[in-house]
Amino acid sequence: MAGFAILTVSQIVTYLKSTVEEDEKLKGLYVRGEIGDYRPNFISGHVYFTLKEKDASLRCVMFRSSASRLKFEPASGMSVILRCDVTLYSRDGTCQLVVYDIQPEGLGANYLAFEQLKEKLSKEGLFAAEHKRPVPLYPKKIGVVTSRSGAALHDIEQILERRWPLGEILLYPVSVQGAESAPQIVDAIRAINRLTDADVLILGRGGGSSDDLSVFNDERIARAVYASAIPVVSAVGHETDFTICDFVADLRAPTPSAAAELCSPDGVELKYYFGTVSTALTAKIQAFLEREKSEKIRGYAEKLSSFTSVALAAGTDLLGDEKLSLERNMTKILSDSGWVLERALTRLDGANPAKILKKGFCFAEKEGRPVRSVGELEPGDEVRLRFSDGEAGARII
Amino acid sequence: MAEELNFEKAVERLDYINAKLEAGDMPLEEALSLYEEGVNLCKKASKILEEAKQKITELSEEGNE
Repeated sequence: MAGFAILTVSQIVTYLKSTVEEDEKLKGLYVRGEIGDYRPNFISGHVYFTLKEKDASLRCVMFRSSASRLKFEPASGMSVILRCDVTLYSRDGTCQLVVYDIQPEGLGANYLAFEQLKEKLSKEGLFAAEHKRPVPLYPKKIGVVTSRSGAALHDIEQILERRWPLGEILLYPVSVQGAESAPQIVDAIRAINRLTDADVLILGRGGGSSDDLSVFNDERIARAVYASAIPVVSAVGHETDFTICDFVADLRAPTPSAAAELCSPDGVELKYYFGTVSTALTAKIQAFLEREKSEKIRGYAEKLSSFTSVALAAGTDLLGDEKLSLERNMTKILSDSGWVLERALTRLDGANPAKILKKGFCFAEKEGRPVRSVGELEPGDEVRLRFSDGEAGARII
Repeated sequence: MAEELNFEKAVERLDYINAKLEAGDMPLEEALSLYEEGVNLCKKASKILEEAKQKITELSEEGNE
């Protein structure tokens, strides 16, 4: 064999491998065929099969990271389109496809169109996170673009009625299926922007086959959603359905019900919140008044005791008058702060003093004004005593 | 007929009042007026929520003036 270069198997394999794997034409391919000999490896998580045609086949491997993202379980005999690279498996010296995604053949053309449009709009920046606007927390008006007769509208109405009946629904009915649907939806989005001051817009329909949902993959709708000045929540089909519209929308909801929840506060929780805050404020103002009262009393008590000790030391009752006026002041402070609290509570409690009076209190009025202090009274004064069930006149003795 | 109330602002204001009363370093009159404002806000908000009725308006290209 002189004159011939003698090569090793691995030299050939290595050469073929680099030739195949460096060829850009063999990367990112979409390949149509039928799955055969489907063998998932439950330990590694990788999936092995062949992709067959009438008289040709290729070995395929789908690694765990890709296989775990599949939304359906492939099976032998299924017609599919693979997204894959061609590689060379050194051990057997055979070509194989490393598969990244599998789509059932029924979706073939739509799937390709979908991927291409997604790619194009993504490059144009229609999905950019910076463009996404927040959905308002307490919307006054909620635009809804969906079918008048569909389950989506019913679900949205129900959720909003329960959670946030203050949000007015502005329904723009459209057809959500068929050829006339996309232009109608585009018009609806523009009309709601032009004619209303809606705070948010829900666009969607209930579940259906992927053909039913495909209108939401329309480029015209994507551009209308992008151009909408009102934030758009897309709600198409079920949890697992993704449309182009979902990518452009400011927020994607898995279902129409979820969309309604995402654009409304929980009214029941809010009612609870206002109730508890109200109670908390009352507790705080009561504590505040208590503090105020005890500080004043402490101040007076100190003064009083120092007067008393001076008086005692002097062995006289010269300071009796001063002491009396201090005692009066204290009483006034006590009844004042009590009165202030009662007045505040009363005013807030539907302006109904009867509630307090029912507990056995009464209050005195002199010349039509409440008497706040004994200091305001002189012997002989006429007062009115108000009880919960009536009033009586009295004279001070 | 429904009174207007900005719930976002109401919640903010109530949180503020709650914190102010908690701290308590202000004259009595101010505390009372904050308290009164807070409780009235709660009442108003609860009432609005209680009485709210879902309203649906249908729009259409031709039908809109």
